[in-house]
Amino acid sequence: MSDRDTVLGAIRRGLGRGPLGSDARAALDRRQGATDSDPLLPGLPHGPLAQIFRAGLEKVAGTMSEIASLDAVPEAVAGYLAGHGVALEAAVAPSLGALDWSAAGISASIGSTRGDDLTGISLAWRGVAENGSLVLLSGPENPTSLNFLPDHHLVVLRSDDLVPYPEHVWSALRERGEKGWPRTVNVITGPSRTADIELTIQLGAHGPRSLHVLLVD
Amino acid sequence: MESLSHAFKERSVHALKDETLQVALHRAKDGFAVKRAKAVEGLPEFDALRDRAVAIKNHTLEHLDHYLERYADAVERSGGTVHWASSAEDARRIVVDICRAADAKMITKGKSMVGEEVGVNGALEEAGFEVVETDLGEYIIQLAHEPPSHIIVPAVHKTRGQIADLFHENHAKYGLTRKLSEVPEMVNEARQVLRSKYLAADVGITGANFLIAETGTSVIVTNEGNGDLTCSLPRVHIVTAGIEKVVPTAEDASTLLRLLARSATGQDMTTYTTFSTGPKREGDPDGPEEYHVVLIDNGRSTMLADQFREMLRCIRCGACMNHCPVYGAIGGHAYGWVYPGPMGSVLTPLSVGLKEAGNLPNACTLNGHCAEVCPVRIPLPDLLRTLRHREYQLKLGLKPLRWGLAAWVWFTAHPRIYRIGTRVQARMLALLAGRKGRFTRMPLAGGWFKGGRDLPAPQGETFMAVWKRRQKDSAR
Amino acid sequence: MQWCDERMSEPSPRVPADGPGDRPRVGLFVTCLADIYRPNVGLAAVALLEKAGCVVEVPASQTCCGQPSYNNGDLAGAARTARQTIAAFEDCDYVVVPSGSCAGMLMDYPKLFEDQPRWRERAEAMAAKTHELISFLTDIRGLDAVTTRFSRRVTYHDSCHGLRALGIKEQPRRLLASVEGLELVEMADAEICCGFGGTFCVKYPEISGRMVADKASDISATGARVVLGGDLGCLLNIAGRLGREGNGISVYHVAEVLAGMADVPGLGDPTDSGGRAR
Repeated sequence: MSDRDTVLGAIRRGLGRGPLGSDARAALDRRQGATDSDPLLPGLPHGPLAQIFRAGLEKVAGTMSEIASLDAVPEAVAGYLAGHGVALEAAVAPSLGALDWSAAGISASIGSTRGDDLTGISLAWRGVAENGSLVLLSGPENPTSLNFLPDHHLVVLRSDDLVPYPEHVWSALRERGEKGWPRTVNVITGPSRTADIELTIQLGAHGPRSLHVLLVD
Repeated sequence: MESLSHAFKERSVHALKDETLQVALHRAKDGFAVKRAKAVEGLPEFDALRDRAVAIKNHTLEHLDHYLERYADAVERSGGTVHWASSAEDARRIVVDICRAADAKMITKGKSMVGEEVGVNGALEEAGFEVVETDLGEYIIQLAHEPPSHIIVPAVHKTRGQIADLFHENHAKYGLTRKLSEVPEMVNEARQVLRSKYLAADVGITGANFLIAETGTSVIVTNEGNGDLTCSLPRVHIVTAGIEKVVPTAEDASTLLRLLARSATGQDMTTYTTFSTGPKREGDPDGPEEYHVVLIDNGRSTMLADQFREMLRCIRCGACMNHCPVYGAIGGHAYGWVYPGPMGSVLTPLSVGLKEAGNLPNACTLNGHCAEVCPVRIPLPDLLRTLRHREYQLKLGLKPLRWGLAAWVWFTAHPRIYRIGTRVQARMLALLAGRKGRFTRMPLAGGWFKGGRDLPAPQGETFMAVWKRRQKDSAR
Repeated sequence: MQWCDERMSEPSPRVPADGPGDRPRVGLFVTCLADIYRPNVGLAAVALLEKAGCVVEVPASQTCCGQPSYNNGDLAGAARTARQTIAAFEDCDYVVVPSGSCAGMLMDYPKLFEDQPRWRERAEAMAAKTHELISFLTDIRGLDAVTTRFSRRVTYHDSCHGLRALGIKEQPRRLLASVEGLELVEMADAEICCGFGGTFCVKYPEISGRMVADKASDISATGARVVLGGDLGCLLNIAGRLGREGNGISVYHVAEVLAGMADVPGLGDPTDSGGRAR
């Protein structure tokens, strides 16, 4: 008997029944989630999604600036870095590689990082208003390492990609069909933090010390 | 992990006398409860979500074989490998074998309670691997060679002074010799040390907060980002997870996530919620080449058979211990095994046996605070009482208590004799106490006074006697 | 104990205390602790119930609720005690208990007879008509105020079983607010267990001792000179600790104050009678 059959057999003994019939299994497969109904979604505050998103993000010590167009991103990044006294250098996701970084005075290295970049710049796939969370998908255009290794993480989010709830993200991922879920889906809500020493909250535990969102209209 | 639960009594007394520990516990006590209450207040749907969460967990457990099969198939479709472990020993062997096959030297770990439960670290170290815990709290207790004392904040029992000493002792080999005193600089130093480990690791091991059956995805939540560095930088990612972690869909996980962080730390959402599906894909610049999931039974399938199935709803938020006055008084180590507090007092006897851990279900006042805050409505006091019943049936408890209870039951079933006995007792105690109105000691009642309290004396007459006289008088 | 994780907010139907023709027959289950330690609590309960328009009966064959056995795993023993209690109160319209803990136990009786349908039925009938004293007065009898006087600054400890299994929180406070001269100061952590827990307090005296010491310091910090509560188990524990500390804070059952019968020494206070019957 395989290990799989051993464990499944023990589970069925615990449940006091044999394997489910194919009809029962098909019925379970047809369900959309365990409660087989629309998920219970908490009410959101009134107002535009961007405003709700910003409130959630700021609650967890993230920051945000709103920008008119994608082309204006390098300039905004340069302003942010200069304002924080950080060198104008960044590891940039290939999805944003076509922007004119040098025009804004930023020395950009396009691709993933091994931890020697102070700043990482990524493109979010979605933003979730409920908690001010960013959703980033891994892929050739979007290295996951940019999300965690740099001290400063700047994330570009298109306002069209703002959704109210994470449930909208899951259905959108389902709609990708064949491609389905990438290796990694990162839902990021604020900069890295720890309270492991005397329950004192300290930002920048292992991941970024600051998280800044550039919301592009 | 080796259990020390048989020594609960001694360990709890020791903990009460440990002043440093008491300072740390006092700090934790208010912090968590207040933050949770605030977070819950901010979500009017919290209670309705709890009902949904219970329904999700119950449905999944009822069809656990089906959802695990769906999950395993989906993992394999995405290029990962699923391993099935019936016991802790199986789980240890599987993890060691994967690391050996990967020719690993250095292994980083994200916090995994089931990893602690089955003793992954010990097995890996015995096999010659260097294992580094990356969650700051886990890292601290690894340096101190201690088990976690809390499932969310493993080093909650440590003060910053103790942590500074640990870092001072252990970081000199990295050229970090300055003695630190402030929290930010300590966090920074750990960040610096652990960063090099992440980058050098061959294998990263994480737990899972949820497994999604539909997509074959494992989900971890962390605030530090350590879990992400652990599962994305090394060549091999191993997930260790209990079989009860599976849920049908990501939507189901979202419902549970709305409850998890609020119940645990009082956050609306943990900083990093990471969904891993298989190894890196073609063209991916980073991510592991191999993705393994070890599904661990280790007694869980047995729990499905009875009342303890309810315990399998547990999402390991720690709210029960954060609100338990006994945990608040003695901390987590006194419990003697991986899981402390109310949830641990249920799980430990089921895992290591009532003979070893019989004290745990008894060391509870049944005050119900844990059940009140449990996000998945586990009736913890009822489960603890059921364990006491099992213990009684197995005749494992204290003999004098059994005799005393038997005598008391006999009296309660014989009201006339009971009346006489209680009258004598009330009168005698009142007379003995005299004008003082209370006792400062009494033979055979040492336990009461050992708690640092006097015993108030009865008023003198029983109510039943007064009532009887009153009835007689009014009839006259 | 039926653990409800949210306070019972559904108001029970209110029955106004009207004419003598409509006076329910209430069986008082006085509890073993009140019977032996504090008859004054039983008398206060009778006074309050009569004031709320009830005819009070005290079945002579009542003894203990069975909680010591139940909570120590002796379910057969608890069932034996429960049968005694069920039989004693079968003729009453209501069973009222001046203790949330013991009332909760009575409500749990059906669990003891899962494979005895006859007894289970009787236990369910018992559970359905059982109430804790203060919540019975307010929620069932519609009592909103009392007409007594107690000119002291008091604080109130919420006993866990009443609070969490029966949803008793606001009811005693509502009635206390009507007591002339009484000032209620809330203590920190009023909802945290005092460390009594039945046999817990003697099985784990050190832990229990720490818990009650914390409770005592929360009580002292309010500046109140009197602490009230609804469960004698907790009150004996708290009074024992306060007595040991010798800080002169008195302890009464809330019913004693509401009935205007707190004119006797508090639990464990020095007494003139020296234990002679009143």
